[in-house]
Amino acid sequence: MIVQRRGKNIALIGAVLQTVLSGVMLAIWLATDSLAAMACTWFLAVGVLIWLMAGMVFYCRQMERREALEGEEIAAGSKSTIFQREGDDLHPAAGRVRFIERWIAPSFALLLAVGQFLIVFFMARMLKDARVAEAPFLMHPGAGIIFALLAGFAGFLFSRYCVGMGERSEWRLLRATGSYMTVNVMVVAATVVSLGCAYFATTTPASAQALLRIDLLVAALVIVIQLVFAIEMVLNFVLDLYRPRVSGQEERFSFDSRLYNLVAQPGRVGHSLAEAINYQFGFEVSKSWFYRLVIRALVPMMLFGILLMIALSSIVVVENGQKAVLTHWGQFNTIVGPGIHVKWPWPIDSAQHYDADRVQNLLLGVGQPRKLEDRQGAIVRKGWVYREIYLWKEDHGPIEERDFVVASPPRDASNKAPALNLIKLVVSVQYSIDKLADYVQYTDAPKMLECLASKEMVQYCAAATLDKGLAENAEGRPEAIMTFGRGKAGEKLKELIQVAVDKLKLGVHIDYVGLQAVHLPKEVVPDDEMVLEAERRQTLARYEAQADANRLLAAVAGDTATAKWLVMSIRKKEDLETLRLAGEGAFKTKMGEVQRRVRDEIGTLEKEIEQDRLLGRVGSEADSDATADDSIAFQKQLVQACQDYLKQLQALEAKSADAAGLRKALDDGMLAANAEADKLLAQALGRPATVVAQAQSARWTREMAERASAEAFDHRLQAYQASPEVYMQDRWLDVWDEVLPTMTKYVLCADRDKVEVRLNWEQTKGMMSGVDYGESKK
Amino acid sequence: MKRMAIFLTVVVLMALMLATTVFYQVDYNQVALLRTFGDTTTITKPGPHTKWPWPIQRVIHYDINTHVLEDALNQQKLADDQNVLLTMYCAWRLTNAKEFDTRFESVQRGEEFIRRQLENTTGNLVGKYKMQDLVNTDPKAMRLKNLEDQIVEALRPQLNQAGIELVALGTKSLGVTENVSKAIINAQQSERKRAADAFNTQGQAIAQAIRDRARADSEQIIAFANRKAELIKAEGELWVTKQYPAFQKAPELAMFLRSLDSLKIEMQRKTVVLLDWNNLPALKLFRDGTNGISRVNATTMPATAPAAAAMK
Repeated sequence: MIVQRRGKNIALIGAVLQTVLSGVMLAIWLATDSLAAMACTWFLAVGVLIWLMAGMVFYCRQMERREALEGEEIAAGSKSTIFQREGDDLHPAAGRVRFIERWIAPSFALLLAVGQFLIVFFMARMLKDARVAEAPFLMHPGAGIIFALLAGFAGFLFSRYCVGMGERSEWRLLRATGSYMTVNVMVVAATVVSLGCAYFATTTPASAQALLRIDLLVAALVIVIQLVFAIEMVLNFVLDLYRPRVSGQEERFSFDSRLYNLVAQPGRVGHSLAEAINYQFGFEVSKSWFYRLVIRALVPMMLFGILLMIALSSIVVVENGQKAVLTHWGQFNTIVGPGIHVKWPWPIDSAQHYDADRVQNLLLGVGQPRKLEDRQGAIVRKGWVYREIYLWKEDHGPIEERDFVVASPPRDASNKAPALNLIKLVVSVQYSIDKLADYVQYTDAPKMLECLASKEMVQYCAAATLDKGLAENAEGRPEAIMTFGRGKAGEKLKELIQVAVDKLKLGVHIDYVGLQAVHLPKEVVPDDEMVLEAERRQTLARYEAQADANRLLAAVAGDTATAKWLVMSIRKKEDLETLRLAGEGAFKTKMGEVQRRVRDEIGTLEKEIEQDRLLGRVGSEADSDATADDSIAFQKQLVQACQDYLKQLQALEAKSADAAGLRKALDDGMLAANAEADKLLAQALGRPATVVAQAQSARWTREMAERASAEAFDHRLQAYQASPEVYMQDRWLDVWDEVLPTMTKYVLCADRDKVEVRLNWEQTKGMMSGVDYGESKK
Repeated sequence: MKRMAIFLTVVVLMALMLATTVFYQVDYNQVALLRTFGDTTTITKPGPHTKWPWPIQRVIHYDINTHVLEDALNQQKLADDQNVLLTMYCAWRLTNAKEFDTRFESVQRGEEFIRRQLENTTGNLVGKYKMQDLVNTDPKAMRLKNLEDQIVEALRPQLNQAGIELVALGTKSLGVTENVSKAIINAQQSERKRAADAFNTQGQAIAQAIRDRARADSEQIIAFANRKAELIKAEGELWVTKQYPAFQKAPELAMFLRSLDSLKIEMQRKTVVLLDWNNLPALKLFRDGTNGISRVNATTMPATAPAAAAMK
């Protein structure tokens, strides 16, 4: 009974320790984001249930033992009773133990297996998502290592203790839990290795990828271990159903993993195997005739193996995309393609495999692998996935990009030597082996290709322009390799590399050459972005000014288009008027000035069109209703009108010898322009239209008033002639009668010479007097 | 039986060991030197060969494929006192294995020799060139290929003597030192700042020009409209003059009526009037009653202007 109680206590302590270990690994997982720690946590957590199950079994056995002792005491006191009963009715604890061994423990194993399968399934999905990450990194790996080591060490000591106790048949169940904990400790150790890699070997991208692999690998390993455990439990469950029961044989539970026992006690592998086989089959297999036959046939089997190896060396398997060079006694024999081929065995014939048909990649302009810590600025995290953004102002990518020297026009006009610029230029060369017989003539053909391609890149790209185009006669110089000339430069480089390769008979075909990265050094990028920003600001200032201009023109003509056409007509009229007024001597000078101004206008308009084109505001040519706001088609119409006007001026200039003809042409042109301006003004809205309308109104008012006066004058004359004085007095008083009622008036009721009139000329202050309109600052 | 098996095993193993010292093989991309007590014979034919076991004869294999050798990144001074970092490469292969072996004994030592020769020759020749010969905006002015040709010309005889054929030579990389690259980057930064300033200034100028142009256009339109308005008014005035003959019948009456019209208009504004009862007949009634009406004298009444003092 004491033995079982001790077993129960150990199992409960184990459950507590397992819980602590799981908690520690959970904390490490959350702190480091390690996938291995995550998998480890789940694996450890399952162990708590196994310990609890073991504790329960021990407890029940303890009860059974107590019951048996009590039974023995009772039996010793009275030999027989009339109420004597047999079986479980008299021994409930024993029955409970049997029930647990027969039903509860297998069911627990089965449920545990199902739970494990579910955990494996969900963790595998998480690992699949994490697999796409390019550059993961673990946080606080140092702290994680320390805690994992402490927890692992405690677990290791306890597991060894339990495994040792499990040697005794009474505590055999502790072997199952101890073995499980031993494997747990090994998994924790693997996690420590993964964290160690994160701590010590994250300085290079290669190791970053290795870290990814190690962390993923450990996580996958843990999942596989769990999966194996789950499968074994199911198998144990099934086999246990068919196992022959031998009376008095020690019971072995389904969750007691045989494989974990092997791991926990490797020194007893043979014994464990034999034990497992014997246990399963119920007899001593190692003493059977078959086992002895295998032992006797070992030497002939080894000889057979050697012969098989020789036979296998006579077969060459060439994978798809590969070719193999076969040599016979060292002499070049033949080249064979994908498939199975027969040859003489080694050392007579040998085969060397090459990736002949596969496209291989070569990067030029790159240096050492970049440290992961240098790439932190470019790495962003989204959930479990880390992505790297290739921004020029941050170090990015797994490999360092080297500086490439590019010439630029001299900064100083007095210096003929070109200035130097630095850029980052990475060229990708994709090639395949064209003629394998030539290719194998080089000890290191890829390196030879790299040297040749680099030479061509240095010579060709050193004269390149970065983003500006070139004149048509700039032959042999790559243009705008950062922008539109990138593809063309790649094609030309491919051509040059192919020529160089063919010249040396390297046996390589260049499939593709592309400028993979062309950008400024990161130190220059902020200033370069400042230029782009200033360019955008310039555009913004232009648009704002155009908006102001449109508002101004709309205020004077109703809309911008009418205003522009109106101005053009007015200017045309005034130009022709000026030319008409100019004397014969000044005509040419004036004509030159006018034509120059028109050309300037055309130039300005064309420049604006080009700027709009570059900004993507391309209007339709056929847009006859184009407005100045939304279409450059309108500007093109203006350009066309200016060009027509220029032609008209040139035609007038041609007529300068014929004074009469010229005068007539000028008059006609002026009249046409005036009519056009009048027409547009009549259509226009805004202030000028108001001015004209008011003038017309005033004119008609005046005319009407005068006509009325003239028509009424005859009648008034008749009245006047009837009595001039009365008429005049009457009219004069009429005026006063009309105006006096609404006005302030003072009546002098004294003689005029007795009245002194004093006038106060001081003006009262208005509402807005005293407001400073900014003039005081000037 | 068991002893026979052990004996046979030992015999087979010894035979195999002997075979490795007696037979040797030359691959298709190799040349072998068979050395018999210091006397060396060159074996070029690929295939299996026999020899006396060591120490009587021994075989040295050399790879006759084309090798590629890359020079270290070397800092060189140019004719215009500028520094440049150059990496050269050369492709070479063995033409006289015996001579090569006599001089170097191994491919590694041979490559070391080639590397030294390459460095020295490059150093001697590159100093005659200027930076603009190596990097230029005009591809025709770039003389990098001339430099490579000169190096080949100088290097080839030296290598030939050592049983080496120079297959190819070229520039793998061309760069500048760290300090120079910092200076270049500073210049690039300044250039861009200047460009940004230019854009800003230009933007303001463009915007100002657009506004000025629009202002000029609007003023021109307004001026044109004003001119048009004046013309309309003038036409009206011209029309009015055609009515004047009708007033010629009594010009004094016409003028009197015009004065009254004017007075009416002027009096419509803010005006304070002092009415003198001596002048205005209606007010005389205040003073004189109905007696004063008979004394009205037409001469006291102004014909063209009111007698009252009108102030605005």
